[in-house]
Amino acid sequence: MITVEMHGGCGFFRNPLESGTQYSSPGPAPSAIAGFAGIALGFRSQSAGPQAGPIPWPVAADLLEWLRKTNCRVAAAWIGGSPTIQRRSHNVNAIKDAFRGNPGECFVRQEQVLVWKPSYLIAFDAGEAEEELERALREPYWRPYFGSRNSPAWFTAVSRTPRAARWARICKDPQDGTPITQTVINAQEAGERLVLRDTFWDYSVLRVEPSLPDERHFVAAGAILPAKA
Amino acid sequence: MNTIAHSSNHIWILFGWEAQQAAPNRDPYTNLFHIEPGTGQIYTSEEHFKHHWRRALHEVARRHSKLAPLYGDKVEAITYYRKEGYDGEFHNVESRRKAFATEWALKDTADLGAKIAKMALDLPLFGFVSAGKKEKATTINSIKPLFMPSTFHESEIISLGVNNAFPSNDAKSAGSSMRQMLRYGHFLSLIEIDLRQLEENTKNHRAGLSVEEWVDLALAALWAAYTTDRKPSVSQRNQFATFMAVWRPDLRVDVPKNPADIFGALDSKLIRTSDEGLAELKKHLPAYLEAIGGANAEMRFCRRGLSLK
Repeated sequence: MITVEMHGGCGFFRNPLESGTQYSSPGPAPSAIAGFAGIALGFRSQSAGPQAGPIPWPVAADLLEWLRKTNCRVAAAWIGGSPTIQRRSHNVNAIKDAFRGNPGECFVRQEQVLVWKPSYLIAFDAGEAEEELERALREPYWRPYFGSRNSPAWFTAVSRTPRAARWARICKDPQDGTPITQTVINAQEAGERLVLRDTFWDYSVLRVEPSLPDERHFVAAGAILPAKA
Repeated sequence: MNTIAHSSNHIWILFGWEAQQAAPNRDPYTNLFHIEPGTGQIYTSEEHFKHHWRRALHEVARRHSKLAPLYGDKVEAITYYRKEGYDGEFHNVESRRKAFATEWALKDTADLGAKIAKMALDLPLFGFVSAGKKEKATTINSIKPLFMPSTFHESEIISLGVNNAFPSNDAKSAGSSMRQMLRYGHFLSLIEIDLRQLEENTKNHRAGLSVEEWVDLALAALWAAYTTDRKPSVSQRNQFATFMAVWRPDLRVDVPKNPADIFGALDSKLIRTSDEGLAELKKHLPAYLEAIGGANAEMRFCRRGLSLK
């Protein structure tokens, strides 16, 4: 197991259950954490990558392959200065390259509610790939970010020693949860890019005593499924 | 100092500017300043900051010795993201794309987004989200502030009641409104350039600049945005750059620390004048730079006698 702290000025974790919403989930989903590993390892971004086989949209093909090989599992805990995750409204005038909407509009007022001063403890269980991952986390190839590219983050305190923390718990009905999704590989049949597992990571675990991460907390990072059409 | 000949893949910039009787950035819904609760520090959005940077990039390019032959005759098709054109009209996506196709005399507009990404000067720096279904032109930003630009001190907000130039139809009303401004704010922004990303973004770009020249262009544009090419509106014009420090961090040991956190070291948290602000910055700037690995930073630009030592 490897743990690493991640810190930033703000975070913006979009909720796939609420398309178009600007209210950040409380923390990264396992698939986002897979992205952190990919950034550290230097894999190309999903949006800059080529199409991988039958998938009709860009995917991070190198990262998908790495996840398949390593069967990487991840856990996360909030370790910010405040006991609960703080969010802050941060509305902006932005310019969207939108092909929908009124032809006369190219800029939009965006209502955003961001996680403020985010800090997380992330655990990776990646088997034989941990040595390579540890090196990458110490000297990441790209700058990591918390969801949006306007929310840069940084890795510190990379360690092989697990720490006790209030790890996010898998649950069905959280107080403040991040939806857990998985990437679909037969998208042409399924018609969907993401499968919602109907589970969440509950980051609001104030009443839980700090513990070492275990099976209650680990989720496969962006595990890949064939989905039914 | 040659900021490129180094093993590190990043450049950090600490940029400072003063705002006096100005209103740099407000929430577009509430029209209020972005205020840090508990400290009274004022911060701006990254979008606002980059908007001014892009604006000046357009102007700097037209007088740049290497870029002027290619961009000097362009009006709209120098930077991509602008709310309004030089004709004063709001532009939408179609009109922006058309402007590029027209001004660059493109006969083939297939994959136009990808072509624009290699013509517009702002996209390799600040990124491009290409929403076209068939286009693969998305560009990851290579320059980004690591924190939202913020004053390093508490700022006072002054409220001014003003009469508008033209009264309303109601003869009893003089068309008054309340305008809020900062009495004084010295903003600091810690910015990162990812040289690997910049190199990737600028491959085959029409500008034909080296990575080092792109960095110099970006830094010159940022300085111009708050000096020679300030926006002339009432809320923006009284903002002047004070300094720009540049260095190559060792990211194995250097962790970004928010320059807004200089607040904790101030004896007097509320700063109301330029002289007070510069005096405090002179006291605390060297220690802050030391703390984030910038002890050997180069002072690329400077006004008002600030020193890094």
